[in-house]
Amino acid sequence: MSAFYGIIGGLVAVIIPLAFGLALLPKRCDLPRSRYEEYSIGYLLGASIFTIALTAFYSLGFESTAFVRFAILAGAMVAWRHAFRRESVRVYEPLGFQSYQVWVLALLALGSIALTLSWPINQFDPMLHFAYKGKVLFFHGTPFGEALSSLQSGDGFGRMATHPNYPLGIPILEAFSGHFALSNWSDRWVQIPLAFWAACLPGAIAFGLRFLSKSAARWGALLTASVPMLYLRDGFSSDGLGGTAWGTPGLGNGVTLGAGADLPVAACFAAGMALLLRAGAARSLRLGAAAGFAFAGAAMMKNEGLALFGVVVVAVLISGVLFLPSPSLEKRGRQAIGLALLTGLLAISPWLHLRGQMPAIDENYSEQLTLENTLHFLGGGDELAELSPKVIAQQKTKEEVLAELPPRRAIVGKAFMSTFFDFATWGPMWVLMFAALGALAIRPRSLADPLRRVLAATVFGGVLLYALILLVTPWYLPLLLEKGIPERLLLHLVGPIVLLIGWWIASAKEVKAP
Amino acid sequence: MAISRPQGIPSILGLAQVAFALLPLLWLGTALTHAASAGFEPTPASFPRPSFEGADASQYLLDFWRGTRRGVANRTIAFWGLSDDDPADGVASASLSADGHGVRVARALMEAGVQLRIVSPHLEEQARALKDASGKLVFDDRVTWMGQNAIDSLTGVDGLLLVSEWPEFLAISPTQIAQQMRGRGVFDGREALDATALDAAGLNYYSFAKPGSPPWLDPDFQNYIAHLRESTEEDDAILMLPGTRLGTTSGRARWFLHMNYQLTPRELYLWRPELACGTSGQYRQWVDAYNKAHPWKKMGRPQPGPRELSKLVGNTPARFLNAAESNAAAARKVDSVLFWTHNSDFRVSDWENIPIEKVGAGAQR
Repeated sequence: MSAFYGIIGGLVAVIIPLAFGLALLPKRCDLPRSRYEEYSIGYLLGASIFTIALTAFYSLGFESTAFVRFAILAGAMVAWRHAFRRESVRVYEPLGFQSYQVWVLALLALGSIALTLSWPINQFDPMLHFAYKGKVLFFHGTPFGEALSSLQSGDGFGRMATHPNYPLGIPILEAFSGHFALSNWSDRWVQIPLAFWAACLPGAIAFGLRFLSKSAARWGALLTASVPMLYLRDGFSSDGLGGTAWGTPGLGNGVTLGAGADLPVAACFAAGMALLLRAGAARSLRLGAAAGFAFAGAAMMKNEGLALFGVVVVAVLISGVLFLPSPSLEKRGRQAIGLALLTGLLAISPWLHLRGQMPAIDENYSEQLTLENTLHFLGGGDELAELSPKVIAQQKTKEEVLAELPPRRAIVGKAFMSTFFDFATWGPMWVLMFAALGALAIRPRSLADPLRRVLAATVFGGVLLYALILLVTPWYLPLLLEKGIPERLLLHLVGPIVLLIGWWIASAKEVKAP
Repeated sequence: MAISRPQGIPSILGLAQVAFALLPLLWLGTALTHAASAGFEPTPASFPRPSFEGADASQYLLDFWRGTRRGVANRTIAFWGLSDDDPADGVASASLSADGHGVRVARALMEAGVQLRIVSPHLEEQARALKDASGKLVFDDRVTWMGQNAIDSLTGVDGLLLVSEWPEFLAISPTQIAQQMRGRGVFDGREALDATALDAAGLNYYSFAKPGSPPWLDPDFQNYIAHLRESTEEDDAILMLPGTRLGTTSGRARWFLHMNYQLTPRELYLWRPELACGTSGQYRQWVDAYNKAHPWKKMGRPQPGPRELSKLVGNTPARFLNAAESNAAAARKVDSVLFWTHNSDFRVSDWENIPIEKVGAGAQR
């Protein structure tokens, strides 16, 4: 019976964000889209809004009581009614996928959902970094209790928590799945709202590319859905066909699907970029605000989302979109992009307030990412050998470890190069991205389009940011590489990368057939 | 005349798109089949078997002996198995190489002056002829080949190291092992021996296998979590304290994080959790810090006797809290104290949750 309640609770925790997301999208007659695009972008947007609103709620010191849950349910019903009754035209505008393409997309989407739910939460990070906080919210209704805030008190004793200052997006979705399951927490069924990221990501990409051409949208969706990293990381390339990826498929830290945070960051960030492009192209303030929410949603899933929003802000500013007039981006389009940044900033601020009150353990990148540190490691600074497990366990001296390791910049460079040519993990995505960037370099006039400039700058800035983060990381870098970094970080950029590739494909076709 | 492609026939580009999707599709299919075959619930059997980390094993053993008065030289060890092969694959597939973990450990021990009694009936012939890259025989006269005589190999040895979990090794009773050995140390590179039974036989069990499955799936761990769920209230506060001096041998360190997750909303308290909950490196620092701050001989806590399952229900051992622990327990109104023995094998007797009244009654220091 509890499984039944768990499934119902999980589905309610999907339908509620979906209702809010659909309600925020413009009417279909104003913004044509297929059903797949609508539900994909609607869910990602709704999950963002839901987690932003509840984070803000918690940050004000409120607790999620039964009344609050009832109010959310009532609000979702109103939103659902609004989303469906306002449509005078109920027709969707299909993307024109061929039937075999629909089958491929459907099988990948359904497979990803089924696999997420086929195991209960079974990995270290999803369980301890996120689901533990979900349980805390579920049982206590607030993140401010001792469970997260008392890692140490004056007498040396305290409660256990890993990364207490990680954002609450995933814990909120899990906690409310439990609440709506008539207060039944299930390690399997609280994952239901987390099972749709891989299924929604291609739809969000198609939504973002549709204004260029339907063919680019189809290409983008299929390319995204085919990236193996969406489902598991480095399983094929590092283990080969007989390795753990095939030996224990679906289990262990090599899986991207599940209750982890990297895939939702990628999905929400992709939705943000797609909405930003459509907001500019359609000159829609409503979509601009929606883009801001989706960017903030990525920040609610994992701290990297916050950094990526910073990249978008910088990309918009340095590409001059807000200030330089352009025939392809009218004033209202520029305003929509400005509104996206403003909405994102406002939506993130409650989380920053809450985060400031949480203890942090040893992962403060804003302190670490200094010019001094960057120049030190760029100049050939040694790896932090004193953090090597062998040195800590006194099995080797720092000097012995250093003798076996190249300088950190070389380790970072090698890690990125191997990632870019790792087809088994990424498919042809990186090669196509470099081709798209190459095309931009050959035809710089393409960058006259301000939206394309923002996209290219975001991709470039995102990769650069992650290279810098790895360069100055306070962790022992070889250990991070074992844990699938930089792959897990670069996954966050799948959205803008495929959008950039899609744009290249659309413009290449235009050139070919004027 | 333009020739248009009939609807539904994929273009070359379309076929390429589908081809890229094949790998994840195939993997998803395999993963779902795997989940279904395991009944959609992971168990240790759903993961790879524990692996034997050769370098760590020899280092650990040598460090262990170096820390004793007798040192390393002239030690004798029974060395059970040489290959990394999975016994489930059968004897026929077993093979040996000079770079294999088992052989590397044997060589490191020989070089340190340890006498080896190797029991590797399936591979003895191959091992005797094994040569290294320079063409020299790997094993010299410091090795005694014991054929199939695993029990005889134990006579008077200082320790036993299990490298391969062949069924004939696992069939030998802990009592027999204890009777034959001179030393007390049993080193398990595969997490295959019965730690509780070895412990009850008076042996010291050390596992340094790299576990294939995560710690929270260990059946004993899960059983004890279920026991704690039943025997405590959801609003209970529990203080966690080591019942013995902390060691760093655990391949499954930080199991308390999983216990904390599983037992939420119960409140579990630990000494300096900000260090204990960090990385595995910080965990080791935490162990060192704990042992420095709590010199065991001055703690007034008796070492526990042989572990027995009865302790799970007996709750009788004398336990004492020092002043800081007593104050911490009083300040947090803890309901019980969870003492643990620092072993990585997760036998149920590794934990004893004792109501605070019983602990309090014996409180000293």
